[in-house]
Amino acid sequence: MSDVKFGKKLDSELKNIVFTDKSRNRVLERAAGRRRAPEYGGAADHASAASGRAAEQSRAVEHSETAAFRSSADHTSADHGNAAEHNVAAALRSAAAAGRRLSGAKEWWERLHSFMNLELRIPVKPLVVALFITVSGIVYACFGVTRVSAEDIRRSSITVVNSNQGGQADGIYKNKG
Amino acid sequence: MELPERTERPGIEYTLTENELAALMDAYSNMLLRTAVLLLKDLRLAEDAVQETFLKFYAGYANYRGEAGIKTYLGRILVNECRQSRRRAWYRRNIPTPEFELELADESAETDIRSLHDRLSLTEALMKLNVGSREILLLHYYNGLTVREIADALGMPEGSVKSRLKRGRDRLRDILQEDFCDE
Repeated sequence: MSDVKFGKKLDSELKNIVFTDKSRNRVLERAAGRRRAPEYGGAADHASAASGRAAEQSRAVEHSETAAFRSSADHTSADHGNAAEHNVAAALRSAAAAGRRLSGAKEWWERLHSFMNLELRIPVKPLVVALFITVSGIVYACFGVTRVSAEDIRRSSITVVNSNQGGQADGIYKNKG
Repeated sequence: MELPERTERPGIEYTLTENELAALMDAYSNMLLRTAVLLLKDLRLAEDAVQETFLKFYAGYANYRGEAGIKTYLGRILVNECRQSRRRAWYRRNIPTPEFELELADESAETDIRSLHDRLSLTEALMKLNVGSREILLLHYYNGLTVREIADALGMPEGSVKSRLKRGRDRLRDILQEDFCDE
């Protein structure tokens, strides 16, 4: 089986499956929306959290780079070449730091999230919810939140009154203490 | 397809124009869509995955360093998108849904690529493989990625890619031969 044959055969079998103009236009519209967003203050197209974050980071870096470039231009015109270079380097460093700050803990959480989801195939959010409920239950039960002491539980018993009439709902539970 | 070269200077905005994005889509969209269809077995999910792939490439173009080819980079994004879609749709897989029906093209005119294996379509045979083998076979034989590029894209050692590639190829051959012997 040569790869040319494989590709050609698949293409011939799937030639009815084509990327429609509608899909193409939708991508272009969303791309245009992304481009407009930072300049005109329009709503950015946050189709996904990851790409939204990337856009935010790139805007932060872009902003600093542009500022540095302008600053360097001003200084160059005033014949301060070294100072301009220094400013560019400083602005680039601050841009990189801004990028790092934006990532940080959230980045690590997302890495862990995607590792557990993709590699271990564990649904993370339901797991976190289940853990939260379990831990809350344990805390609730163990730390006397109910104000029922172990002694109360030990001394309590169930007594059925009027059992010859099938019992009554009220007064079934009697605390001997 | 070639994208404009970058100059490493601050203050220059590394973005694609809409025209370049459109040209990218013209060049690679059908191949990516067919790959996604084979990976997801659902045309709508596949279309969504391909759209997201192009948008992510567009949004993250500043991060594209040009070390890998565009096809490799797009393939990598697509495979991750398909994985995410499968994860998002995990509950749907557990509910019986109508069988995925591909409208396979009539091959009567394609005499040049006819072979003994025409009795069972390659698409159907690929659908019988597990997702891991299908991903690797498609990336290598259909999208044209090298073993190293696949290893980079999927984040696994080259040796694993090679062994999975061999297993997938053997399994595909078995499936096609079983069908041939049945007839």
